[in-house]
Amino acid sequence: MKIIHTSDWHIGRTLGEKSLLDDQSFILTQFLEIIKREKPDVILIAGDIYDRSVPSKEALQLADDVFSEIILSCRIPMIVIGGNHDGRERLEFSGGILAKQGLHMAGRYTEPVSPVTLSDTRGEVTFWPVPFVKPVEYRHLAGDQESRDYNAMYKQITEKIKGQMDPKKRNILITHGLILSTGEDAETIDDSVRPIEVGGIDFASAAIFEDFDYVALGHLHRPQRVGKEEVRYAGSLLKYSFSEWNQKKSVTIIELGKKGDVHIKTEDLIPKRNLRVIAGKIAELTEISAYDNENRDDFIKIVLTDDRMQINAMDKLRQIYPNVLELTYANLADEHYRQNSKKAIKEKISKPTTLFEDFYTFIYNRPMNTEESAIVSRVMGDVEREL
Amino acid sequence: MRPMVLRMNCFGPFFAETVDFTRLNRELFLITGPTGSGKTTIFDGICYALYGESSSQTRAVRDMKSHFADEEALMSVDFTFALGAETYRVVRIPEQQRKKQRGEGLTTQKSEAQLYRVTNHHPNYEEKLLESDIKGVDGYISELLGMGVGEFRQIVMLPQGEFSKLLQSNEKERTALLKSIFRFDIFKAFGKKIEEEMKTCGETLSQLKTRGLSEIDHIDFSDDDRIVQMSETEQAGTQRLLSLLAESLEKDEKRLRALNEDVERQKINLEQINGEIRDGEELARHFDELAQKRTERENLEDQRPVIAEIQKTLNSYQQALRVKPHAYAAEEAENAVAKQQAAADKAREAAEHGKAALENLRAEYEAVMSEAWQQETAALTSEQESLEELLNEMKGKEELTAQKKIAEEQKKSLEARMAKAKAAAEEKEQEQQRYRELEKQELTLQNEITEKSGKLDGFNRQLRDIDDIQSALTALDGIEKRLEAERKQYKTLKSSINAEAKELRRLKEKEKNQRASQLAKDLTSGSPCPVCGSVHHPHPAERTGDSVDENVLEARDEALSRKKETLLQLQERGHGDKRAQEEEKKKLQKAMARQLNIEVAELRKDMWIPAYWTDKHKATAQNCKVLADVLEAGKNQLTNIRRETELLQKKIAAKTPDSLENAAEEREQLTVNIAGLNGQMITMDARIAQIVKQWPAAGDDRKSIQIRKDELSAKLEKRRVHQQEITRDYTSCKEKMAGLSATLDGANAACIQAIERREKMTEAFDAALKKEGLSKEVYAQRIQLSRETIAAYEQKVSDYKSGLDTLATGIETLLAKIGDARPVDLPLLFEKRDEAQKALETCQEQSFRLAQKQTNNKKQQDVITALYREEQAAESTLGVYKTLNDAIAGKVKNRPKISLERYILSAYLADILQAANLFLSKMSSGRYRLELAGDEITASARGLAIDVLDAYTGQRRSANTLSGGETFMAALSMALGLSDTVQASAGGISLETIFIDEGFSTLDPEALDAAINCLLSINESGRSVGLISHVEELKERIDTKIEIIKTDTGSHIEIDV
Repeated sequence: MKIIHTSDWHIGRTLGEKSLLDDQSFILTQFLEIIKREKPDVILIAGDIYDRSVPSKEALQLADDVFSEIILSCRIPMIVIGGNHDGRERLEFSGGILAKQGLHMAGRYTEPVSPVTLSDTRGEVTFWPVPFVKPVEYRHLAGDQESRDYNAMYKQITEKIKGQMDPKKRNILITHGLILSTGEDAETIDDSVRPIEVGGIDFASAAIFEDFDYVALGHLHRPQRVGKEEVRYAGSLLKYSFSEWNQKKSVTIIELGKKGDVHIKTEDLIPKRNLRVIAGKIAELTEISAYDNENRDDFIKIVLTDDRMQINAMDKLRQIYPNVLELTYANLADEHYRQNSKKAIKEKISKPTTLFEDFYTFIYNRPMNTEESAIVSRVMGDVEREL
Repeated sequence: MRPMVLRMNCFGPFFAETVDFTRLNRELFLITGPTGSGKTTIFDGICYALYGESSSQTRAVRDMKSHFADEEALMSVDFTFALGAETYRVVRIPEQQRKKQRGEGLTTQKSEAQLYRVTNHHPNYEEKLLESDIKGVDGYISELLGMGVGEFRQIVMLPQGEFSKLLQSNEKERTALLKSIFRFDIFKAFGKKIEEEMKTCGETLSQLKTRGLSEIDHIDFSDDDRIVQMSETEQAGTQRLLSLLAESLEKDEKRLRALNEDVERQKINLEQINGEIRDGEELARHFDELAQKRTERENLEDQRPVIAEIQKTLNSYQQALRVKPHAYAAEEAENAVAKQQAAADKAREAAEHGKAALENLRAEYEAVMSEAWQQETAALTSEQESLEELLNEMKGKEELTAQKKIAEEQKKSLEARMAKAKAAAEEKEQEQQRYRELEKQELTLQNEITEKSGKLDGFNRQLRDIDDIQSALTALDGIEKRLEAERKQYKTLKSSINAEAKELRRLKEKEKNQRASQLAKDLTSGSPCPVCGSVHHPHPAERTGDSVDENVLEARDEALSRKKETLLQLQERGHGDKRAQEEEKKKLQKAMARQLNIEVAELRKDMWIPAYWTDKHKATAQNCKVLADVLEAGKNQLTNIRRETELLQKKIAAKTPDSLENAAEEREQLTVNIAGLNGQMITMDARIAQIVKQWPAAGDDRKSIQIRKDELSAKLEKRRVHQQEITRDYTSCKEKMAGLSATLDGANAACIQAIERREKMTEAFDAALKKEGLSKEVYAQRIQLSRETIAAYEQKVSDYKSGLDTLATGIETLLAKIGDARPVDLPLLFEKRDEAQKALETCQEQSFRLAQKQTNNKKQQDVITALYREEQAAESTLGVYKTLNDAIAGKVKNRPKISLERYILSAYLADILQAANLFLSKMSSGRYRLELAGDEITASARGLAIDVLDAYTGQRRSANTLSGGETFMAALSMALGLSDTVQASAGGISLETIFIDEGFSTLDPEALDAAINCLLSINESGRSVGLISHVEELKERIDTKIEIIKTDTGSHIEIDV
């Protein structure tokens, strides 16, 4: 059985004020080409199809076009789960009807998990869709007060699925959330990944999913394995933040043989416009020769290395790079702060004498003489004692 | 301030609701609910409870009474909150109209307020009433929180539409706000104190000046001093005064020095006169002393004869002392003689004793050394040795007997083994015989089976052939039957065709007639016939019977031709079948002939009947079965034989013959050994008998022999010891005797020597006495004088001599001192001295007076100088204070007009902005920063205005020019930055919780996302943020919620964690 695993489409996302719908349409056409070439038996989308819980009608239209092509023309079944960005109840709308056409939409997590079973010459393959669910929701839903965090919650969910499943058959889990093999992986999380929990990083350990033949994950935007090869994030369709500028996006293709026989490869996705970070002085970046640069219409973040702010820098840069989305200065803030003599008053407020010295120096442009500072420290001492 | 529990009765849309903030386990929580459900009312509740006012000036508390409550119900708010480690509860009831409890109409409920401190928490809840009137509660809470309602609304609860106040408020408002937030007392007190001290310093200065003037009055003037001539104005100049004073002091100093010199001179004169008086007096004393000493010397001279007598006695004592050693030596020698004589007597006695003992021992010694003793010993030794040998022989014999027994047993077991090995060899031979027989049988049986199998195969082949013949016969029969049916079918079809053809011909005829009659019907006389053209129609055809349909006719025609075709096919098939039948028959003939082993021509008719072959088959099958049974039996037998051979083979292989070659040899050896042992034993017996006979006393059994032998050994040992002891005693006694004789000889010699020495010493004593000229009697008398007596005599003599010497020296000295001097006239000198004394005193008085003046003026000079210095110091200190005071007040010329207060506030603001920028730059993707506006030197901006720095344009602009969403981001950042800064600063107020009411709807989705991410990231700082919003994104992203549910009977609050 051949499976294509993808996730985090974020259809309808904007970058700066720029809509990415054209780029998403372009990349989804590429995706359809891959499908037509590879002819998979099923397609898994592990959450975050849309960027917002209430997607725009253009976003809905694009998703509808892609789904129609896959389901109605190619006749390939799809299993789609809700992610933290998706309006999960909305996603599930008229799911029963769609399932009859081969589009299995699991928006909300419900118990028990209803598996989707497909067959090939070697027998049945069972897909367990587990949409994004927060521990607080899970506790309400399952009436389980124990699962305080993601790890405990996923442990519970997996235990319940294991009660339902036949371990001799091939079993695939699809879910959306932060699954890591160790805590240190947390550093690899991108800016565009919306923190799904207030406070520290809360994640579930990949070790929980040992019993599945493959785990199709969504949420992290970098295509990657989590611990072992068979637990994977497919990654997003496009670079959705500047922290992803050096990532390569792809879809994951899984060839499922007999039980325990899994082959995995990835197919790269080439975007219409790239996302890049350019650094330099404004004079260098706006030289006349810059007009000859390739891919000027890429989405760009400019990091200016000038040591003072430039007048109308954004306008000048947009003449060359029409899609500059962000502009920051690398060497500026610090220097400005250093020059500020009033730095960190909270450090000095506890030492009023020092603070007054600073004030005096600021006013008279010279330090206090010994006589003056003697008076100041004595009076300040008296005052402090009195208060 | 950290809210804990808020209870609202009949307040806004709430009838009786409680918000338990302590259940919110996250730092960020959301108050959400539909429009009009009362989200902001929660704000109002808290604000009212604390300050008696609602969260916004436009919402009056009076109007807040719930519509859902009946008129009797009382509107009230009860709020518990924590501040630092303390917990407080405040209860307020606003003024309201209320139904009278008795009778009709409304009554006005006055407003009330109480404040408690919670002293003990659940379950033993206790509280203490702090204030119970509105004024008291208001004051206490403002004091407690460190801010009034205005500031509270700006920094703790940012109300709907007013959240940007901090950002956009004017300078004055912002100053007031910042001052209320941060602890400023110390700098205020500092400024005040500096100012006070400056004033004190000024006062001190004027006091000093007054004192200076009074001190000048105390200067002591002489008429010639220039100070007296100074004018009033000149005196005011302290410095001039001091210089004149110094001049006067110098002049006086000079005068004083001259006076003092005079005094010194007078003193020297007086001293000289006094010296003369002292010398005169001393001389007089010398003359007196000389006279006295001369008298003393005369007295001593009178005592001289007594002293001489004492000296004589002393001399003879000295002589006796010189003789004393000789007397002593003589006495010693006498004593030595007595001692040596006693020792000689004692040695003689010991020698006699020794001699007697030696005599006794010699007899015993000679006995043990005699011939007889030695012979007896030799006899005993010989017997003991023989018995020893006998015992050894007996033990040897026992060992031999044991060896012999072992050898015999070995021989016996060897013989048994040999017999067993022989039997085994025979058995093996038999088995091998049997094995060979079985092999032969197996071969025969094998051949037989092969032959019979061949035969069985033949029978089986025959059976198969017969089967083939039978089925061929059946097939032939089938073909015959089919042929028969075909023939029948052919016949039927043929006759049917004939009948059909006939009918068809008839119908065709009829049709022809019909057509003619049809034509004839239209014929009229005179018109030509369409067939022949004749115009005469003599016999027009008449219509006969039924009409015939042309179509039917055609169909019949067609059916007929089809049948004819079928007939042809049948005919052809018949021919084919016939040919096949012939061929089959020929083949069968050949097979039958082969089977019966005859020629084809010889085949009989009955052989074509299947029953014939069935019998044949049965017979052959019977043969087959019999043969197969036989074969099976043969095979079984073969298997049995093979199994047996195999077993035998194993058995034979397992048997390895016991080697018998060595065994025979071994047995031979054993026999020889046994014989040898027997021989040895006989020899031994003979020897034993011989010894027993020789020493009959010991008996002949081993035990008695052993006893006898042990007795002998003991006896011999005893004899040996006795001999040894006697020999040793005798030898030592002899040695001792020799020693005693030597001692006796020595003692005698010493005795003679002592006597000789005594003679010599006595002679020497007599000689010494003679030499000193002393008789023995005088010697004895003098030597007895005691040491004390002698010492007293010697002292007396020496005292006398030294007394004389001293007096002689004293007289000599006095004479030398006096020399040729004459006595002096003292009264004259006394007169001169009195005169000099008087002159000195006069001079000293003058000097004293001048010195007094000098001291006073010097003191005044010091006092005035000190005062002058103090004055100068005070003046400079006043200058310092003025410098500081000017700076604090911001009144320094040509310098920034910034007071200390403003400076610190602006620094605070800079810090707040710094903290706010962390949030703002995150929310705006690095685009905006907030900064303090303006140049501090200029008077217009005094360091408290806020500018926005836009990285995209690189320019600053006023915060008031931001768009709605941007303003919200900036204001939110300011609020967060402010609470960060306040958390971090020492003292001041505490911003543990802040509430933000709405504003999120002004953000575009991306900015909203950034804002939420920002808010989600602030949980480390230990303060909580409460958001009021119905924005869907927030609801989804924030789990900790206070949800307000709107119903027809008021709103309800649910907490969702």
